[in-house]
Amino acid sequence: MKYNDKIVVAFLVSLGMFSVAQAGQYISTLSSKQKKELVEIKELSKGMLLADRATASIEGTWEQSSHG
Amino acid sequence: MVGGKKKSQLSQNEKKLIIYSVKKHKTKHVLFIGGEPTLYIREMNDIILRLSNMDIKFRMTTNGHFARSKSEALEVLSSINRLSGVNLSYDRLHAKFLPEQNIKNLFAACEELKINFSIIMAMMSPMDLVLLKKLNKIGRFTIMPQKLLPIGSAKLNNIGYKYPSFDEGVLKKLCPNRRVIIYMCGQGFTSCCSSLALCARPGRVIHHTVGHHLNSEFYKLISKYTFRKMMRELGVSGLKMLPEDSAPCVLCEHVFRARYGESL
Repeated sequence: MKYNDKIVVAFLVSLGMFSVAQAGQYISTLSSKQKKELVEIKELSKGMLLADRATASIEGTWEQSSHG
Repeated sequence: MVGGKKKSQLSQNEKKLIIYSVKKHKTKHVLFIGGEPTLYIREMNDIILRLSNMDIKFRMTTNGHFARSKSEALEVLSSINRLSGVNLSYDRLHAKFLPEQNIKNLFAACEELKINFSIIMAMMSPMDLVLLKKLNKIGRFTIMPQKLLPIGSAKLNNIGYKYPSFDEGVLKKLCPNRRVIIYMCGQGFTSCCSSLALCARPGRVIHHTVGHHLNSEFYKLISKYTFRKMMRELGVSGLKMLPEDSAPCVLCEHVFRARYGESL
């Protein structure tokens, strides 16, 4: 796997988009242009507040702290 | 709270039940989603007013249609009592009809009113992340990429998030909504925001009261067990997994359908 591919795989996994294995399979379906776009997005995202799935359950709500 | 398509507004009995349930279970966060909640501001305020003596944060998820100007956005947001947060739904499809200016207006209005603003980005594939380029120019706020579930019209049009293969890791997970209670207008209470809630028989996944739901077999399974354990409990451990089962909600439906079949 090329360096940029590894960057994209790590980025997608960090966002919860795929597992490591799935990300590796997915990247092989992308064109060079698409990979380059995702690398750019990864760089751009450093200055952004991106929540992963672990912190955003349903529609951005916080999980209910207690119930029942 | 999810607005239903079957009815145009909540009945008085439904409002009473919701308020009673929120008070009884000491809910700290209430989220209004849709449909489009800003079409039902009077209903929202009626509920919020009746919960005025409770320490609750109220949020809504909106498509931002009303934010044609900053002043219009301010007017709508100000008309909703005690609104502490706004989630804007934005994705490749919304981008076709929602002008970028609406997002700017809504963000600016939230900033002025000190309302927390975030964007929920439903994704059909990781390439939808390119939308971040546009959003980055608007301002600094939380963006929550969420994989589009193949339910309802997304399923009919085959536009759910695609997985290249099945991820075994999902079997170690628990239901992501196990600590959330959703009221589906005209139907009842559930923890499920997905296909099961839309297609299951009354009393299996959706229940008349929060108490019934929390005591249901469905809730006990999803709140207590990983998906692997849930499958064992339901006697469907040998189920063939498909790539789309990598999504917990899709897997959950698959498991319950395998167990209950047509009687689901």
